[in-house]
Amino acid sequence: MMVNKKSYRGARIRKSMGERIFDVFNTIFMIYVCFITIYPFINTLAISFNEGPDAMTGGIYFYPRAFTLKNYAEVFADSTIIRAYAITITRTVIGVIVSLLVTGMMAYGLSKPNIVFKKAYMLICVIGMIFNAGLIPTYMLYRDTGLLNNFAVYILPSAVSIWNMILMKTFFESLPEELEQSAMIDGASTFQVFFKISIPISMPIIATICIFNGVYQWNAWFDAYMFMTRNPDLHPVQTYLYKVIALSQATSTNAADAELLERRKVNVTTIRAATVIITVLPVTFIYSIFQKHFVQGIMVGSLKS
Amino acid sequence: MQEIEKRSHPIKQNFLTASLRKTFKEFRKQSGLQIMILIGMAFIIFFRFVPIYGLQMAFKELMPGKGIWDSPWVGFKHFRDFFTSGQFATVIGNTISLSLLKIFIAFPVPILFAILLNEVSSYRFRSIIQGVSYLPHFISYVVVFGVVSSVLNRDGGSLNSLLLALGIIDEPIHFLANKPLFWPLMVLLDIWKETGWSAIIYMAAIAGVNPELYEAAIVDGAGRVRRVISITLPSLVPVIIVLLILRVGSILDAGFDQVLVFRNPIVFEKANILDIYVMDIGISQGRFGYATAVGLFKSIISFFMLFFSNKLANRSGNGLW
Repeated sequence: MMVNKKSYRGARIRKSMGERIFDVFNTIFMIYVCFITIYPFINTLAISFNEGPDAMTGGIYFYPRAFTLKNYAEVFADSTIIRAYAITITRTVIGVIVSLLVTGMMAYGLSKPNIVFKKAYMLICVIGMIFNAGLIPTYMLYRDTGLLNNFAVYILPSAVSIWNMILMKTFFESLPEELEQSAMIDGASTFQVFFKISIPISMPIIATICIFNGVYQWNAWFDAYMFMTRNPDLHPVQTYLYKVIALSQATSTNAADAELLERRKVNVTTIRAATVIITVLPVTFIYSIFQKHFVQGIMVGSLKS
Repeated sequence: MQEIEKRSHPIKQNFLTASLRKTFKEFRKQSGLQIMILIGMAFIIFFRFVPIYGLQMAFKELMPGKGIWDSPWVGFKHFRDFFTSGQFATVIGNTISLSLLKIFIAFPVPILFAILLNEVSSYRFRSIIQGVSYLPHFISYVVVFGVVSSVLNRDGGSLNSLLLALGIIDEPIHFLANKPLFWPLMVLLDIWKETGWSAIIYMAAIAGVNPELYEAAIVDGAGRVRRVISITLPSLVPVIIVLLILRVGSILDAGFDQVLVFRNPIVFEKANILDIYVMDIGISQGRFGYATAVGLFKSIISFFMLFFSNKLANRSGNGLW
């Protein structure tokens, strides 16, 4: 019998009947959990490769019945989604870099012990984390400062995440001082030390923060929906998908031209599925590759808090 | 007496300027680091603190030509309007009902999941389950709607197909546009999306339990259930209480983006929660003053909820502060 001696379960050699039954049910339950987590994605993938009218008749579970690439062709025929994709990639790249720079520098500064006004800075950060003025005052601020309908609204408000700053600060505090000090003696400036010495040895936390920011930027749709109303050319792919959904949601209202809408809905379902798959593919792909780092980074974050 | 006073004054002043000068000198010595901090601080002050000036809109009637500053004060008019409007009971009722449903049903699920997951003995299997269960956390509610609607759709959704094929129902159910099903759907989706992720913190707490406790319990003949009840659960109590305080403190957050994505005209009445109401009234209808007042009302209630639930938790010694 394979028994792991390190775990407390290994302390006993034989399991009772009741515990074996429990193990079986627990395993079945866990497989069930995994299944209902994954199934909607598989189902959507199957539908996205199925012909529209055929999908409407139902009965598609794991694989397409009437295989076609038409849905994807139709999605890509519309140049909007390609542009939206470009916007998403741009905002993710710029957003991650800007946030990492600004938040990282701030965390680095605050991680040093003898910083003047350190207590005041931290107090402002904590108050800023708890307090939220609300949607309307934020909207008014963006309107008055020209951030509305401006690409900067994707980047600047999330440039400093106080939570991430505290995570990074905790990490920087644990770094050995000797390396930086010897560089200082050699005449390096603060910025040189930060970029050439501290950043290269802080890769674990930087990877974690990159993942958090990247996921945030990739998933963000509300800021564009709310603050980019006059400039739909700058909508990211998630906002585009939201508009597709809102459209298909609205179809159920009007009974008057129900027939016309029903006909249009035939393709909306499969095209929507294709759009969803295109949107979600990079995230799931990156997630499955970096899953280990994800989990490690998350553990670091939750243990520190 | 006078002489002493005269003398003490310049000394005190000298001391003050000296310490100021010292601070300034220190500041200049670390100017590189200070610049790094101040860039970040500028962002925090601009995006977190400057909007506070807009809160005065809650007490003003915003005039089209005038700015926020020049518009006339109206006192608590917007608050009175909100409390006496027919919407007040609906909006507050919806928000609190949906939130309470989530607290009672969705909140315990990650705890149970973490305990059951901890009982899985194969390390490999456990990390696969964890990896899979985090995935929904990393997608937005827009995508959640996309994938979930393939399953729950009335026309050709696979759940309807399955139920029809099994003969459980005769007619497809419109799960996504169904007034009585809207809240249960929101709660279930909350569970589906966040259970794995929320279980992390409980898993970490369980991992921190001294294994000798379990060994001693086994020696004393405690079965598996006994060990979960007597060792695992008590070790989770402090975490549970802290998270519950935070959850109760945000009872007026019933899930803004979730409801926003899943609402449609049929379920509109059930989907009208505070955040949605503020957005509709403020941005769509342009009643900025009124919407700010409703938002401020929400912030104040949330603050007091957090404050009092923490007080309650302090009685058992598990408060946040």
